[in-house]
Amino acid sequence: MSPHLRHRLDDDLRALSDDLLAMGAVARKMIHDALDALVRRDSDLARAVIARDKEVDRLDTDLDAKAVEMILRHQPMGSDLRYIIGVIEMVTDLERIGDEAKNIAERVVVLNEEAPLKPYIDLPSMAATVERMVGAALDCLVRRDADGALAVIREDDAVDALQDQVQRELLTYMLDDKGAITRGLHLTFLAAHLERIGDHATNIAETTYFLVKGQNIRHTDGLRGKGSG
Amino acid sequence: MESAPRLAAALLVPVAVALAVVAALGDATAAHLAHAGGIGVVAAIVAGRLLARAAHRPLHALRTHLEAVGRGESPPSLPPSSGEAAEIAACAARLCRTHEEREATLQRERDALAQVLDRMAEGVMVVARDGRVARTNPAIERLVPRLADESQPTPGEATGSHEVQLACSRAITTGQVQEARLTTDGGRTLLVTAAPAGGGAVVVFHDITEMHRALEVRRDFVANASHELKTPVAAILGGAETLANGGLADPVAAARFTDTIHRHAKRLARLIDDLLALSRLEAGTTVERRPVALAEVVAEVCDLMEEPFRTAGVALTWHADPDLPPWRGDRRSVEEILTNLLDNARAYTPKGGEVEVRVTRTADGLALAVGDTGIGIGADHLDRIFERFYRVDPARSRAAGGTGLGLALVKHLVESLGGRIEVASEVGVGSTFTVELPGDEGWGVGGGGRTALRAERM
Repeated sequence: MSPHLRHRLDDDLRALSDDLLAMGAVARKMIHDALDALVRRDSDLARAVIARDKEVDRLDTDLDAKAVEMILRHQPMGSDLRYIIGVIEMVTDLERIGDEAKNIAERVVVLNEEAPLKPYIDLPSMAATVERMVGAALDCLVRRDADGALAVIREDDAVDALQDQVQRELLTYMLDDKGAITRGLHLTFLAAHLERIGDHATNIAETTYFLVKGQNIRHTDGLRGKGSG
Repeated sequence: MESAPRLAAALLVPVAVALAVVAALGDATAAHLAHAGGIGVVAAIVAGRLLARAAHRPLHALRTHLEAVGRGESPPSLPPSSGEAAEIAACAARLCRTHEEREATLQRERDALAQVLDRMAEGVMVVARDGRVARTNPAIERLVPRLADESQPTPGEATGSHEVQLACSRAITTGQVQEARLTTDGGRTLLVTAAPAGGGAVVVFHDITEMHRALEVRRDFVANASHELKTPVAAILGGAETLANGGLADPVAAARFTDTIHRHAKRLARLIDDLLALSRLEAGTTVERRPVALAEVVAEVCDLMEEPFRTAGVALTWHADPDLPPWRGDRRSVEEILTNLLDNARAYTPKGGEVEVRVTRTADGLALAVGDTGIGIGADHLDRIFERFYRVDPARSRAAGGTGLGLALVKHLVESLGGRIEVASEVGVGSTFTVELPGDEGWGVGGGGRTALRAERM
């Protein structure tokens, strides 16, 4: 490729990366705000999160279009092509994270209409962890850190375990008191949304690993040091 | 210089004409004429060439001279020659000097800028149009060690942060200053500002770790204090409401609730007192320095404590060295310190135990020690017990009516007197709190108290 064309491709690749990171920032903020809205019982904040999902959807459409256009225009090969495809995959995960955050916010609005079932300790902790996982996965992408990506992937087990714990605890509340069932169910689903965000963060890390090492580890438990399931 | 073939051609024409004329004339006169003409032509040619070469020499020398200057060498000296060439040479020399001066000025400016960047405490990173780091200063290489490894990385690669990468690229594309936060591997918190400049960006890294910590400490303190205040208030409100709603009718219940209200009101009062004392200390009022007879203060405070200690079944004794040096300071502060330490000792020593106060002379001044045979403090708590609201055993502390601020106050007071406090303890055996106070100026090694307060971050 002539230096001139290479230069244009590099510019476009950089613009694509930047858009991806911008989308990541929005997704992380949505997770953060959704849990804030729960803990502070701020339904206005929750509604703002719900509205913000449109921004994520728009970024998703834009980025997909840009990526396809780049493939058509530059006809990239090798690692450039892999990178663009990787970006498309990560954009999908980020869009889903946005959706899950919106779902959390929707449940928060409902939950805020009643008194809190209990002091929220585990759910904010889960949220902080998965938000951090998303950020760490993007950091690893930016500095091409395969080992860091593996570390993010391994964190998912802790998130799953925490979800189990939350579920068990909520179950005891619901069995104890029928009036707690509505709130308990919403909170159970909330934990499930967070767990899924953790899964998407893991996906982003797996894509990063692929882009750096050229090896697809999505369904190989051994390398990631994960337990069964 | 004219080319030889053209020269030859130009000569051949007149020579041919001359030969034709000679042939046409045909007699001796013509022959003489021809010979003279021929010699003349040759002479003219030779003379012309000599003249040309002579004119060319200074130009050639000038060219050699200028070529040497262009290469930056010290040029060969120019022979004095005809006016024109010498003037050109002089002009060229002036041009060279001007150029050198401008170079020197630019270099000085570059050096000055480099010095400024070198000495800055903030880290600076210059990002070029292509999005790669073009220049860094020593400060940022210290803050972000990763930069030393990569050559021409992107800001994201260098800092390992996608937020910094985003801030830089947004600054370039939107033309507006962007901010981001970064936590380094070394645990420092950095505020990163990226400003667009010349197609790229200038990124400055400020170390805000201290400020961040101070804000966190403040936030924690406010949260803790609010919690501590809310609890007694809630108990008082609850008790009062119950009494108002008919609790007064039942004497037993009434007595219980009144007692609750009383206890919690006292606790609230103590808490507010402690908080006020702490904030006064932090405001940095200078402390009085008057002669104080420490032995006397100890005797008085122990006297006041006699009854509470008797009720608790704990023996209280005190002892002061006979030859204590004079000490100047604030009597009230010493009373407060001693009272707090004795309260703690009594609260955490079981019935039948002992508490002893000793005042002794040291190399630098005096030492005031309060030792008990109480439950002791675990090693992992020892360096945190002076923190505000830190409690080894929250339940026990609150039951005893503690505010969680006693030791924090003591530490502040001790430091305001220019001293130090230390604790030695063993679980199940007991604890000893030792306050070291500097002696007066004029006696003892390293004496001299400090009266100005240090605001302390806990």
